[in-house]
Amino acid sequence: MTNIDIFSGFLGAGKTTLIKKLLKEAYAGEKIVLIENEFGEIGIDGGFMQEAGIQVNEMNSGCICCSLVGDFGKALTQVISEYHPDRILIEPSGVGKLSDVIAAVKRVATEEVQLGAFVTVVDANKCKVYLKNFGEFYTNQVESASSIILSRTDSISEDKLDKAVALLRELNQEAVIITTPWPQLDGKQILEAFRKEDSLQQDLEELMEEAKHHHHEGHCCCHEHHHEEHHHDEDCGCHGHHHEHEDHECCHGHHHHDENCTHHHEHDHHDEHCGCHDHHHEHEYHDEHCSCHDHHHEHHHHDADEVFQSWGVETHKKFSREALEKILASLDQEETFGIVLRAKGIVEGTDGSWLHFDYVPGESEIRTGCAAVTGRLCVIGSKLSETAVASLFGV
Amino acid sequence: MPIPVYAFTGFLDAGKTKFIQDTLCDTRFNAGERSLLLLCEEGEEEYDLTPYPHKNVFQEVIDQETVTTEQLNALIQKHRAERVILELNGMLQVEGFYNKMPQDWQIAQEVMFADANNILSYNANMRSLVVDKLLGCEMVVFNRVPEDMDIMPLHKLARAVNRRVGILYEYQNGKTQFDDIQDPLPFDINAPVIEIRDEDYALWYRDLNDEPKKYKNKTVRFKAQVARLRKEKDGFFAPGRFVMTCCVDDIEFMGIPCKYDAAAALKVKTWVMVTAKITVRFHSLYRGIGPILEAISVEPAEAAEQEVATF
Repeated sequence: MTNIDIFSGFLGAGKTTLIKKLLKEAYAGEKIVLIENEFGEIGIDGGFMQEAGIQVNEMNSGCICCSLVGDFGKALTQVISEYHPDRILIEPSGVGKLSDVIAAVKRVATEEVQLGAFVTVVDANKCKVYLKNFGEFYTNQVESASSIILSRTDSISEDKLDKAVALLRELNQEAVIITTPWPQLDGKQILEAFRKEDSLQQDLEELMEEAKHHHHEGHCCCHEHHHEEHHHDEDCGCHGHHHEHEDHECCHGHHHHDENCTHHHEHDHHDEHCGCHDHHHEHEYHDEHCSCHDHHHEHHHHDADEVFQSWGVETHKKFSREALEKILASLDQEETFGIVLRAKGIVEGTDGSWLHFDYVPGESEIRTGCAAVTGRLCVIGSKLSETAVASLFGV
Repeated sequence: MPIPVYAFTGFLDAGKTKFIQDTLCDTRFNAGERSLLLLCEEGEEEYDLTPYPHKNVFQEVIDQETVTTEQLNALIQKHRAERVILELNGMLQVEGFYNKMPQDWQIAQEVMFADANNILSYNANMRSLVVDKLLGCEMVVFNRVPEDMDIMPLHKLARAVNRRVGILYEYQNGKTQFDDIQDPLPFDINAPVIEIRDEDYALWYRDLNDEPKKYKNKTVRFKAQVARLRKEKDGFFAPGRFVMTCCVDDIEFMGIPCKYDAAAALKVKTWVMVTAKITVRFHSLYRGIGPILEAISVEPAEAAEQEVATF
C-alpha cells in the first residue's frame, strides 16, 4: 500500500522546510519517494535524503504554461511500480491549482494507493495580499486543502494572524488550520493533525462522554457498580500496555527531552486520554449482567442529548496564566454562562509556554505542557450561553 | 492627443508602489498633469496623496483580467486625465492588458521591478511570467539586493531575455548601481565570415533583428532547417530554427528570408549549412525593412545536436 501526501503552497511559503521537518521527525522508517514539481529556493539536501533512504524524483516542468497533468500521471505510475514506496510526497508547482493535482492523483489511484493529506502551506504574513491579487490558483490551494499550515506565525501580530485565519476559514470550513510556530511542534504532531487523528471534534466527543458519566454517576442507581468497575479498570494491566502505546501517540519526540511534557502526558493519559477509557466505556455499556445498567444507559443517552451542550473553538489567542485562572474561576457563574460541567483546553501562554487546563465545578487545574498545533478550548454543560463563554475567553 | 502610459510591472512586494509613490512626490515627474493612477494590484504598501507637490492624481483600482476598453476610456473621461500611471498585476501577462488599451493610449515607458531575493526562484518556476515582463521593459530594477549577493545571475536573467534593457541594482544598504557589465557576443561580427555556433543561433537571430544595420554587407555561416516563405516562393527560402523562449508551449520557427536560385530544389525541414551575405531591405515578412540573406552556398548538413534552439 502506498500513501500519497500532497504539499502545495505558493513559492517561498515554506513547503520544502515543512517536508524536511516531517521527513526527519515523522516519516522516519518509511520508504519514501518525493516528487518535486518545483525548483526550490532551498533544495532538499541530497546527502541527507540518501542517508535517510529517500528517493527524490524531480519533474522538470515547473512552468505554469506547461500542462502538469499528463506527465505527472505517468511519473506517478512509474514511481509506484518501480519503487513500491510506503509513501509518496508530492510537492507540486506553487503556481498550480491543488485540485488539479488531487484529480491527477485520483486518476492514477489504484487499490494499492491511498490518498492521504492534501496540505497547503500558507505564509501568514502574505496570506491577505496573495488572496487579493493572485486569483484563482491561490484560492484553489486554500479551498482544496484538507489541512492548512501557516508559516512564519511568530513574525506577525496576533491581530494579523486573526485576520489571516478568518480569511482562510471563510474559504475552507473543513480544513485543520495549524497556527503554532513550527519550531514548537514535533513533526509527528503535525502529521497527526493532518490525519485528523487529534481534532477538536474528538476532544469534544470525549469530553461529552465523560460529562455524561459524571452526570450519570450522580443520579444513577448503579453508581456503585459503575464506580467499582471504573476502579477496576484503572488498576488493570491495560494501563501498562497503554503506556507504551501512548509513547508512540502523544507528543512524540518531546518527551525524550522534556520532563514536563512526559509527566503531563502520563498524567493526561491517566485522566482521560487513554484508549483504556474507551475500553472501559464499551465494557460498561455492554455489560449484560447488570440490567439496571442497560436501562440506565438508554435513559442516560436520551437525557444527555437533550440536556448537554458542547462548545469548542480552535484559537491561536495567547493567555497569561493569571488571566486563564480568572476565566476558570468565573465559569461557575451559572446566571451568566449556564451550567458548566467540564472545561478543558490547551492554549499558548503569553510567555511562549503552553498552558493545559482542566475544569470541573469547584476545581480547576492549569499546568504547562507541550505545544499543540493550535490552541483549543472545550466546554461542556447545559443551558450554556455560548456567546457569553466565547466572550469570557475572548474568542 | 495620445495619452502616455507609464507602466510598472513586477510581482507583489517587488517595490512598484513605493517607487511610484516616490516618483509622484517628485516635481520633475509630477508637475501637475492630470494623472490617472490605475492599480491592478493591491499590495502591502498604500498610496498617500498628501506629500505630492500637485494633487491631480486620481486613483482607480481595476481588475486587470475583466476590465474592458470602454471602462478604461470612461475612467480617462471621468478624471479628464492627460496621462496614465499603470501598476500591473505580476501574476498576469502584460500583453492581455495592452491588447485592451484604448487606441490613443501609448506606452511611454515600461519599468519592471523585481525582488533580488525571490526573482530567481520565480524565474525557475514561473518563467513565462518573468519573461513576459522582461521582454517589454526598458528598465528592470532589482530591489533589496543583499550586499554580498553575486549579481551575475540577475544580470544574465535580464540580458538573456532582453539585450537592451537597462538594469539597476538597489542594494539593501541604500546604495544603487547601474549595470555596466558588457556582454560580448559569442561570435566575432568583424570576421570575414561570421561563424554562428549551433547553440548561439537564437541569440544571433535576435541581435540581427534588433540591429540589422550592424550586419549590413557582412557574410555569415550558420546551420538551419529549410522552410518556405508564403510569398516569393521562387528563388527564395527561409533558413531558420525552432526556438524556445520559455517552455515547450512557446516554441516557434524563427527564419530569415534568403535569396537562392536553387531554392525550389530544397526539401522542407532538411538541415543545411548556409553561407550568405546579409543585406537590409524591404520585405513583406517584416512589413518594412529587415535583414535579407543572399546565399553564397547552401549545403546539406547534419542536424544540430539540440534541435530546438534556446537563448
